[in-house]
Amino acid sequence: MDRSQLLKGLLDIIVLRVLDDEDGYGYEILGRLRRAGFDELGDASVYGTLRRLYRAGHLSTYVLPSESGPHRKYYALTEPGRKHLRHMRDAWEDVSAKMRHLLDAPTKG
Amino acid sequence: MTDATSRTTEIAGYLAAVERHLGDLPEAIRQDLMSDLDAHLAEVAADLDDGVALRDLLGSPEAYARELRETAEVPRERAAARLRRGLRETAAPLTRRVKTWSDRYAVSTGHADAAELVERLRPGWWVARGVIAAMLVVYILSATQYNTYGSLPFDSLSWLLFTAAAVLFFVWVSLRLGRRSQTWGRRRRWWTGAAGIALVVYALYGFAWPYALNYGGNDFVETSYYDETSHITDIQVFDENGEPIDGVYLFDQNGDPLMLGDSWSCFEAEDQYEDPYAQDRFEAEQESRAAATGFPETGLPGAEPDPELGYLYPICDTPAEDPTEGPSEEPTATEDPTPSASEETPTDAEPTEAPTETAGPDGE
Repeated sequence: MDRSQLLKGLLDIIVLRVLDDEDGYGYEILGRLRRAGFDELGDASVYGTLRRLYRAGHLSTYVLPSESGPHRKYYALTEPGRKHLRHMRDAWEDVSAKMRHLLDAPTKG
Repeated sequence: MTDATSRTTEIAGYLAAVERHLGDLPEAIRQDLMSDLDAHLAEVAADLDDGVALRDLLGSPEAYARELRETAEVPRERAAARLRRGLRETAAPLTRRVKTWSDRYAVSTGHADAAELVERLRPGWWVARGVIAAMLVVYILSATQYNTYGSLPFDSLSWLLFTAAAVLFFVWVSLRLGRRSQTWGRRRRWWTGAAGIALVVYALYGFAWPYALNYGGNDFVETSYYDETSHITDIQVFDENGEPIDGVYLFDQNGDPLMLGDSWSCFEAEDQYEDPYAQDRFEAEQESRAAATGFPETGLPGAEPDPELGYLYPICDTPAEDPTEGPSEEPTATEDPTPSASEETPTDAEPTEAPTETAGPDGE
């Protein structure tokens, strides 16, 4: 399984976490993820995740004018979104601790 | 300026291509994805350097749509699922109405809703299912035993006892099955329900139609009998000049005699209820056949039918005043028509058409 498949399951937590710092608009959020090292994430993945989280009520949107082009739609975490992020984070901590434990266990022979 | 318009066309083309690849998504999700995608792509394009195409940054529209689909958490629907969804959406108004009616019906009977009523009725259905299964088994067993169908053998004590035992047993099995099925998964319960419906339909078919067709509970129809007459009720033979030819034996491809018309009414028309296969009758025919090898001398109307050679034409004694009337249209003198004969003998024939020598039941 390549990294992008692995990241698909983490898209929610990644996008939510990035937006927890600061509201952002679609393409700019992708830039933040790239800077965080998630190079294999595409624009469609981010956009699709934003729409899905928005549909689920985890995000709200507002529109701001930009000086260089069309209006930009900004996404912000809602209270359920923050809660969702906490849950996802706990789940991730739990899974990653167990994964680390499993992977670090000395192999036989 | 031209740059901006070309960007707009580029975005529009890209959007259309993406939408094409999302065509099978549920309408609501696709609309949601598409409603905002133009604005999003405009945002993206605004940050693009001149000379860099949207494709260069985002990849092909197809790949973009695939990625979008994956993150939108809607797996591509298979054709069967899409068909089911389409049917469900089409039938939605009807199912809603049926639900409203059934709920209203259930409420009027003093239950909370249709679901509760169904819940209460369920054990009753289990009992009914067991009874129907038992009846079917008894019915099939008796049908194979006596070669009859359309009736249940309630006239003998042993069958009655057997039926009672079968009912008790099958009701027990059905109740047990019902109790068990409560804990089953949806799929197994669906199959159980389908089997129950099939049982009811089969029972309706088996029990109802003999009664519906007025076969009556006590009549019986042999499950197999040899139909010795074809569906052709008459054959007229003419020579090349259009003259009718009498005294012809007809055989089929196997050399078997063609049996035409209603044999019973023929014989009875001549011989008033005489059994055509009685011994003396047979002997008389042996004689006439001996005389009739090659050229049947009985070329007269009303010639003796030979049971082995089939009917000599004309099949029956045709009434002289109305030669077009087929023999089978003569009124039958049969008092107690067997089911096979009654199917072919029109009993509604006018008595006035009866030839004088053919005595009807009222003519005796």
